[in-house]
Formats: sequence, C-alpha cells, structure tokens
Amino acid sequence: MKEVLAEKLRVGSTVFVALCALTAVEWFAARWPGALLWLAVIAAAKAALIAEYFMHSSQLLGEEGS
Amino acid sequence: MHRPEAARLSPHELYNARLGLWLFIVSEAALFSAFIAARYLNLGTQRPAELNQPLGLAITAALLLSSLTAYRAETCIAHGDRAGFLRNTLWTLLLAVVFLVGVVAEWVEAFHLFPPGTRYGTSFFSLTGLHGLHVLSGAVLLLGVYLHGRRGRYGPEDYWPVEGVVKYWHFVDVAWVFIYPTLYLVG
Amino acid sequence: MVRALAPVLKGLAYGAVGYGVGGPLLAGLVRALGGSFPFDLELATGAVVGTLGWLAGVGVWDTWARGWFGLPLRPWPEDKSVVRYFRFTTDHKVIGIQYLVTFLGLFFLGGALAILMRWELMRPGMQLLTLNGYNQVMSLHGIVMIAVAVAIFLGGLGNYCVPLMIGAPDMAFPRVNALSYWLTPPVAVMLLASLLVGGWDSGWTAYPPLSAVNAPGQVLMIVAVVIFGVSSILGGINFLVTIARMRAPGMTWGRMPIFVWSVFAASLLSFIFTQYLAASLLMVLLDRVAGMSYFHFARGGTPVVYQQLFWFYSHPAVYIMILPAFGAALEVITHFARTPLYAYRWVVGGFLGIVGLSGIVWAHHNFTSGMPDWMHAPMLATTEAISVPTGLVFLSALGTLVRGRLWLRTPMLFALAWVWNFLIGGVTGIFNADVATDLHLHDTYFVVGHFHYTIMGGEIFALFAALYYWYPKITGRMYDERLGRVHFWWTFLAFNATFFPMFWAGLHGMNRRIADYPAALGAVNLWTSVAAFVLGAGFLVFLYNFVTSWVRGPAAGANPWHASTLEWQTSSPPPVENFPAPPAVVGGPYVYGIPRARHAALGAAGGRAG
Ligand code: HEM
Ligand SMILES: [Cu+2]
Repeated sequence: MKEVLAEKLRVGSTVFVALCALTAVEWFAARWPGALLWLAVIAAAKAALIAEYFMHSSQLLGEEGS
Repeated sequence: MHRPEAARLSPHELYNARLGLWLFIVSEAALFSAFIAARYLNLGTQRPAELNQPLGLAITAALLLSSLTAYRAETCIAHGDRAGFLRNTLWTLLLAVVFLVGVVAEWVEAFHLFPPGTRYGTSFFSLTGLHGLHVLSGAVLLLGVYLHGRRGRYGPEDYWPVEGVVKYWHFVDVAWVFIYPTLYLVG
Repeated sequence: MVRALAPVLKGLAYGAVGYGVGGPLLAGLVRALGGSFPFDLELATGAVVGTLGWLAGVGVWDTWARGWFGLPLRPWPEDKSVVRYFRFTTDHKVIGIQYLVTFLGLFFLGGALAILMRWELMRPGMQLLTLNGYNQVMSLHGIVMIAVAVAIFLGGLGNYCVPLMIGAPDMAFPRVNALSYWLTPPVAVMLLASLLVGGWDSGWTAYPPLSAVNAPGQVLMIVAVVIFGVSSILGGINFLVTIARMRAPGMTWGRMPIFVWSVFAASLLSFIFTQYLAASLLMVLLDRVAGMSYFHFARGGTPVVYQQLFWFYSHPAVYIMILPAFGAALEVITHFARTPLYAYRWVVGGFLGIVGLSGIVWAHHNFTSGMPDWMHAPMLATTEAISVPTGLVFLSALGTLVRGRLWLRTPMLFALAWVWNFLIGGVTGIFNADVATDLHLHDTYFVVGHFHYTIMGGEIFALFAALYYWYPKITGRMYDERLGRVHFWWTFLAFNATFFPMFWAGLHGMNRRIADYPAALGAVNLWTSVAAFVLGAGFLVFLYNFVTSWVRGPAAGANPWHASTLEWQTSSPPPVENFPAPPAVVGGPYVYGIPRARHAALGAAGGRAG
C-alpha cells in the first residue's frame, strides 16, 4: 500500500513538472508566428495531461460493476 | 456522521456517478467555450499592454499547484492515508484562496485600466468572474469534504465525494488552462 | 388539501423569503452603504436566491441536502395517493406525470396567448391590445411554447417511458431527476411575473441591442430561461447515463425501442448545446447589470455575435424538440402497422446524423443579419444536408406503413398526420435554407408557417399520438375512442386551415411579429384567426376526454394494444419498482409477424411478451 501510494504521488509530481514546462513554453509560443495555433495545441496538451493523470479519464473505458 | 454501510455506492453506481459527472463537466466546458469564443469574435486577439503579467502568471501557478495537491489528496485517501488526505486538501484550499485573492487584486487594477464597459474589459471581467465563481464553489465543496474527512468519513473503499469534488476542481483548472492564454498571452 | 400542498406552500414561502433577501434587501443594503445596485440586478439576484429558496422548501433540503451536512434526512411520509404529485418524489413515473401536467397547463396558457394575438390580427388596425402589449403577448407566447416543446416530450413521456422501455427500475439519478422537474415551476412564475415589471418585447429570441435596453421584464425572462436550461442539462445527462447504463440484461443497443434512441439523441444535444443559450443570455444580462459591452450598441458591442451564439443552441434545440417526436411517431406507426420498424438501423443512423449535423447549420437563421458573407454558402449546404438523415426517418415511416396492416386508432391517426405535417414543414425549411429565397422570406409569415408546421404539426401531433398511445399505461384506463377521433379530425383540419395560409400571407408581404398590417392582407388574416379559434376550441375535446376517462374510463389492462415492448409487459399503471424482476431481453423490440420471435421473457404481470 505504502509503496503504491508513493509511486502514484511521484507520477503526480512528474505530471505537474510537465504542466509547468508547458506553461513556460506558452510564454514564448505567444510570440511565434501562428501563435494562436501553438497556444491552442499547448493548452490542449495540458488539458489532456490533467484529464488523463489527474482526472483519470480512462476509468470510463475500463471495466466496472455491472 | 458515518453513512450507513448500505448507502455506499456499488461499483455500478460508482461508474454511473463518474459518467454523470463527466457529462456535467463536458457541458460546463461548453459554457466556458462560449465565453472564450465571444472574446475572439468580439475583439479578435487584441490585448491591452497594461495587463499585470507577473500577477497573471502567479495565480496561474497557484492554480496549477492546487491541482497537484488535489490529486495528492485523492490519492492519499484512496490508499488509506487520512492524514495525507487532510493535509493536501488544506493545501488545496489555501491555494484556492491565494488564487481568489489574486483575482481580486487583478480586478482592482483592471477597473481603472480597462473597465467592464470596454471591449477587452468585458471579456476579462466575465471570464475571470465566471471562472472565479467556479473556483469559489469548488473551494466550498473542498471545505465540505475536508470537514467530513476530519470527522472520520471516507476510506479507501468509500471516497466518491472526495473523488467527485477533486475531479470538479481539476476541471476548474483545465478551464483556466484555456482562459489564461486567451486573456494574457494571445495578441 | 393543506396536507397535500404542504411542501409546495413551504417552497413558495421560502421562495418569497429568498427573493426578498436576495433582491430588495440586498439591494437596499448596498444602496444604504452608498453603493449602486441597479434594479435589473436586484431582480436577477432576487430571482436566483428565490429559486434556491423554493427548491429548499419544496423538499431538496429535507430529503437531500441535510445529508451533506451530516444531518439525518427527513423524508415525507410514504403516500400512494394523489398527494405524491405535489412532492419532491424520485419515482420517474410520478415525475413524468408532473412534467406532463405542468407543461400541458403551460401549453394551454400559450394557446390562450395565441388566441389573444389572433384576435388582434383578425382585422387591420388595432382592436384589443396596444402595440407594446402585442409585443409582450407575442414574446410570452413564444417562450412559453418553446419551453413546452423542449420539456414536454423529454421530461414527460421520456421520464415516464424510457426506464420502463429499457427494463430499468428507475432513472440513474432519481433525485437529480426530481430536481430537474422542481426547477421548472419557478421558470413559469418568473415568465409570468415579468409582466409586472414591464414585460419584455424582444420575442423569444431576445435579440440585442433591444434586449440590452428594454424593460426590466427582460431580466426575469433571462433568469427564467437560464434556470430552465439548467433543468434540461441535468435531464439530458440523466437520460444519457440511464440509457447507457440501466438497460435490462439482454437489452443491447440494437434492441432498444426507437423512442429510446430518439431520447438518447435529443439528450446528447440538450446536455451540450443548452450552455450556449445560457451563455448568450448571460452576456445580455451582463450588458444590462454590469455595464459590459457585449452587444450594447452605444458601448461598441457587436449584436450579431449574439445571433451566432444564440442559434448555435437554438437550432439544435429544434432537434431536441423534434427527435423525441420522431421516435414516438415511429413507435406508434410500427405498433399500429403490426410490422417491425422498417430500416431500424438506418433510423438510428439518421438520428445520430442529425445530432452530428445540427451543430454546423446555425447561421441559416442569420442570412439577413450582416454576418460575414463567406458563411452563407456553407450554411446553406449543411442545412440542406440535414434533409438526408431526416429523409431516412421519413423513409422508415413510409416503409413501415407500406409493409404493415394499419390499425387506425387515434394514436395512429395522429402519427399519420405527423407524416403529412412534417413533410410540409421540412419542405418549406428548404426554401428558408436557400439564401436567395430566404432574403425575401426571412421575418415573414412564411417562416411562422414553417416552424408551426414543424413544431406544432410535427412535434405536437406526435405528442398527441404518444399521449393517446401511452394513456392506458399511465392511467390504467382507456380513453374514449370516439372523442379521440373527433379531437383528431378537428385538430388536423383546423391546424392545416390555420397555418397553410400563412405561407401565402408571408409570400405576399405579411411580416411576422407585427400587430398591424396593410389592409390588403385583411382577408387571409381573418381566415387565419377564425381557423385558429376553431383549432383552440378543439383542445377542449381532448381535455374533456382525458380528464373524464381518467376518472371513469374502462380499465385498460396491462397491454390493450398487444404491443411487444417492455412497458406493456407490466401492469397499468406499473408498480413503483416497474417490474417484479428484471426482464430478460432476448430479441428485437418489434416482433410482429415473425414466428416464435420474442422481445423479452417476463415473470409476472399478465401481459404477453411478443
Ligand atoms: C427539415 C429541415 C429543416 C430546414 C431545412 C429548416 C430550415 C430553416 C431555416 C433556414 C430557418 C430560418 C428562416 C428565417 O428565419 O428566415 C428556419 C426557421 C425555423 N425553424 Fe426550421 N428547418 C427545418 C426543420 C425544422 C424543425 C424540425 C423545427 C422544429 C421542430 C424547425 C423550427 C424552426 C423555427 C422555430 C424557426 C424560426 C426561428 C425564429 O426565427 O423564431 N425547423 N428553419
Ligand atoms: Cu435552424
């Protein structure tokens, strides 16, 4: 139980670092040509990371009770 | 107050609750998307130069960090670590307050720079306001979960309320992921 | 009486207190402290807090919310009598009837408003109303009827029938279901109360810039519609989870009755698109109460953006209205043609195709609005493309009719009329969708004719088909067939007599939403008005039939139509838990004329399966 928990918390931290990195990239992307597109892509990537790792979206695909 | 054993969600009901919440979140996302779309439809990518960028970045960071603590809170209770759950929930609440205080500070400045009657101000105040209301309601829900948790509710087998509130909280963060560039970065 | 109404009275009291505290009191406080608090804002906050108070009083607090605070719940004592219809009850059958009765009531209210309008329009010049009064009546008629059209099928028959038809004991979230219903009475109250503060004159579409500056009644309309939106979103989510997850063993997606599929498709639309309606109206509200500049012309707003957002919901909304009607009409047609539904899979594909396309056609309402030119052609094309999935539904109806042996009872008559009416509605839609033609037709009675043929002729006729069809299940009694036929012929003829001439009037320059018109259009308007009065009177036959039959009609038995789907395999009305044991589904829903085919195996209840 303890190790599983520690492992999961580590995953969370990794995702958080990735989110911070993407946010940093956003700052520069705002000045690239085609900024709107880049920003949209980065935001979508951040949203996908949160949805999958923090919100466990794939729970919905998995098996369940009934 | 312990819920009677029978009131626990069966796996079938748990899945239904999750699906229902996800659909609710998708629907909420549509609401935000309408306000974001209105920003671009009304004034394209124009952005005033006077925006307080450091403050914007700071509240963004606070909200992002709160997603991590919320994740930790849920993960802890799922593995029976009540102390970790309570500690992380408290951190999340604190960051929520930081975020809200930051927004209020933004508003005070913005009232002079670009009041609600201007085109940018219109989108700025309604997007931050709509989002702020969601942060506020999420914070109230987190507080509820925290208080229940302190009285010994929830456990590894029975923590749907925590999960639901945390999912909602993450969604509030996702909304900001799109609002932040829309208000602060484009243009 | 008081015992029956106790929760409602409590809700009203709490609601009034909520309004007082959230509106006048709060506003007075802020003003006393030297702040500004516009009357519009006072109305809005009062209406919202009042609605919360109403909900708390009517049962949300006692039977639900106390649990959130760790307090014991205080359910009302069990009651099987008529009293339960006045309570925050979770049984989907009770909720279905609550919806049906409430929205039939609103339907008659909206009808009365229509009679008022037709009285005014009977002759050129003004006779009964003032110009502004006409606009208020027209606006109220529009929004009330739209609300009826959105809620009565899904909330009423969807609630009552879907769990039964898929063999479920109830909806997935029974309390949320009750919440969806109990959110609707405040909507009606607000719409009516808006007349006390000047009403509103911008029509059901509430276009700015007018809606950003008109009488405060507009604020109540906005709050009402947003709350109604919350109710339909919650309802939509509930149906989606119920249909996806609560089906009886063996009830695969391909074995679901077609009505269930149509509710599923409509729910997909309502849970996602309703937010755009809420958003567009909230923006108008922000312009009014917070001095924002979304659409306010003097502040540099862009009203055409409203039209885009509004129709991004409101076009899909017409499919929220019509999809369940498609499903119900096909349901009736297949049972009364005694043959399996023709091209079942294609119909399902058609429903989903409509869902997919309906998000990309909205701007066919904006051809004259000054939106960018490049949007015209694509929106023309996508709109006309919707005829393809709609055509599939039509072909299925026709194929079923051709292959079946028709049993012409009242439900079937209404379903056949649906085919005719909706054909006219759909074909005239094509004229509207054609940009060049629509530049002339827009905002004329041609459009009024079009949408009354689709909504009244399509949806409401299908609603009556469905009401007659399920009446014996819901009440346990049989309606009077003779009166049913009288009602049918009366309504069918009067409906067509009322609305068909509107196309002609529109083509000859009769503008919509006006209280007066050139004398040359007198004859057609007189005809239309008289026909409308006849149409209105016909509903009294329906009302008389349904009320008296409920009290003393002959017992109907479990399955008077010898229909194969699950709702007919349990008693009429069904027991609280619907089925004594979960039914086991073993085949498709319409097993007519197929030797030894069965839809389901059931233990009890005396119906025959298949
Ligand atoms: C079969 C395909 C259909 C087509 C091609 C179609 C097309 C159109 C078009 C182009 C307009 C705009 C006319 C104008 O304002 O100038 C319109 C208006 C309208 N349609 Fe349809 N329509 C169809 C089906 C339906 C259905 C099924 C419903 C409802 C159940 C419906 C309800 C309405 C309403 C309510 C309006 C008027 C809205 C308003 O301005 O108040 N239509 N339709
Ligand atoms: Cu449309």
